[in-house]
Amino acid sequence: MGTVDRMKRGLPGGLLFACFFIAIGGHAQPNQEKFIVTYKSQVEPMPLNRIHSWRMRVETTDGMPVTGADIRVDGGMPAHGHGLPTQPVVREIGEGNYLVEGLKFSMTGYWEMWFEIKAGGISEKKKFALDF
Amino acid sequence: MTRLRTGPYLLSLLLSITAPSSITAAWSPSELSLLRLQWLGSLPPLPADPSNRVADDPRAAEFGRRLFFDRRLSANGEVACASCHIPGKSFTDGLARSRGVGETKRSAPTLIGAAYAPWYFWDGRSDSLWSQALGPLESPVEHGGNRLQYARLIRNDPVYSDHYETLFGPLPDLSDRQRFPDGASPVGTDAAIAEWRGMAEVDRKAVTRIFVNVGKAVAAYQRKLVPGLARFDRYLEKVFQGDPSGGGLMSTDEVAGLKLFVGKAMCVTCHMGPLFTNHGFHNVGAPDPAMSKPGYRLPIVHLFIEKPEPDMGRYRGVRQSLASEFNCLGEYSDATKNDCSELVFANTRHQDTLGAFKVPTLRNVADTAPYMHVGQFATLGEVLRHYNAPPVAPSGRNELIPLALTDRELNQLEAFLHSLSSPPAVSAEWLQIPDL
Ligand code: HEC
Ligand code: HEC
Ligand SMILES: [Cu+2]
Repeated sequence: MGTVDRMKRGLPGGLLFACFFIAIGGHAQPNQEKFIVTYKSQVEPMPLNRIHSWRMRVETTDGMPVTGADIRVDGGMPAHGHGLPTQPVVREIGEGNYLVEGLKFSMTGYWEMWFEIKAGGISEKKKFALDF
Repeated sequence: MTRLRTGPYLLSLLLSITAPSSITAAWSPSELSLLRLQWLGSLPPLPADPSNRVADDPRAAEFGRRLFFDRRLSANGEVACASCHIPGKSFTDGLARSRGVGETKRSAPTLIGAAYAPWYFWDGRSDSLWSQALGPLESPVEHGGNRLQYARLIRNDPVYSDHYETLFGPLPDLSDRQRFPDGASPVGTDAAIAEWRGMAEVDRKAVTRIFVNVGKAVAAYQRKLVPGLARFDRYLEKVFQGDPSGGGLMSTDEVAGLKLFVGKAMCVTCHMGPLFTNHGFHNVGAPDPAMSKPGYRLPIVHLFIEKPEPDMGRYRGVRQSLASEFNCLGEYSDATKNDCSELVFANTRHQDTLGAFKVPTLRNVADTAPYMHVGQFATLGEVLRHYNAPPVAPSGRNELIPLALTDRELNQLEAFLHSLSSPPAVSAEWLQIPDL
């Protein structure tokens, strides 16, 4: 399922959480990934209930940086029926790197982040799962 | 009471003899990490408020304390902040709707620990403690006065003008009645608004600046009101030190209630952290008094009387804060744009804000009835019954999931909520009217 990155981190409360993401782009063939996305929180460990940014990298499947992508962010806690507490914004910082600013996860539990990436006439939706 | 406590104490004593490694056997490791998040010992130092240059200046706190208790800051000389935020009632007033010059639309929340919040008012229409204070001062139902009146009070009272000038620099001369009429403000009575329109732009700004600085001093005072250790915190301290009975500081029912709070009842999802709030806005579908008025659902009635408007909560509040001249990005703020991320990234979306209200702290909650944004519930028991079987929300979508707790469990949760009281961790002189 195109899992690109796997991380384990400690929370202030000593909770461990793993975060990974799953690509859900491509309707007919779920494995047809168009972009490879990796991210890293600018604050480590990823803080609970504090606004912070992620640095995100977008590449084509053959490893070329994707510039000028139009990226939309959305997310929330499906089990609790609420969205994100903030409205994050994505800004390009060059050479396939982007900054996702204004992220906040306001409670412990299962969060999902959705990124819609559009570049060069190609569009893909990526789903990230975070377990705080 | 003692008999109630010996049971678990003996049990845990036994456990600690048979299994010395599991000293806090009553709590699982994952519960313990949640409990640590709720413990007052985990409260970080008060975050700086870059939008208020004097936020942590002790002279501003002292000036602010005097202002907080001063009834001259009102239209009728009878209303101070402390009229509705009474120190002896955990800075609330015990009313569903507060009474100042008139009656407010909502209920007065506690101020203890408020300085930690990124947003103020039940709908978060202010993004700082100082800009919050400016609301009630000019609200026709609260203090009922206007900014020019307050500016003149500061200027004419020798103690106040002294305090003011040490902190903020020289006060302008307000004695010219042509330029500075008796009362004027862009909000409030029609007369005050008309006078305001007649004033020169530079004079208006000079007056607004004094008004803002009053807010900043009152905010510095409120930053002193941080919570003290409650019985709950002292219990946890013992538990963390390895005493599974927590020094016997909480009863079996209270402990069971705490277990529900961080577990099955899922209260901790929103009432998370040492202040028992995640500082977010959520829709829990508390009944809206406007919609329970007789005839609300009968369209014909509204041909004759105006249909009451349901309270949209955060949906409107976030728009007001973004439009406010007193927000973090405005000219009266001392912050730079980088300090304003809560405002810059504020969520305005319909589905996330409609009918949502600020998650209140639950510290001192046993002393702050009635509950919810209009005091819809008189007792904690009523609040808990609401959570147990959440209704359809009056506006937006109720996020709550039915809990199906038994009466016994509801009583345990309620018992637990009584362990969260403590006076603020400041010396007594901060809690009373200063000698003027
Ligand atoms: C007439 C009663 C009354 C007076 C006087 C009054 N308040 Fe309030 N206060 C309220 C009510 C009611 C609310 C909630 C209003 C709302 O959310 O719409 C409130 C909300 C607040 C809040 C927000 C707390 C939070 O957690 O969001 C703060 C802080 C506060 N008041 C401080 C003050 C200060 C400082 C003064 C004096 C300048 C003051 N109040 C005067 C009734 C009053
Ligand atoms: C989805 C988030 C959420 C959950 C879960 C939640 N609360 Fe609340 N709580 C709120 C909000 C929001 C309010 C204010 C609602 C309003 O004023 O309309 C509130 C208000 C309260 C109040 C009233 C406090 C006051 O000062 O008026 C109490 C008591 C309370 N909650 C207890 C609990 C308990 C106990 C649980 C678990 C059974 C719980 N809450 C679960 C969000 C939540
Ligand atoms: Cu949630």
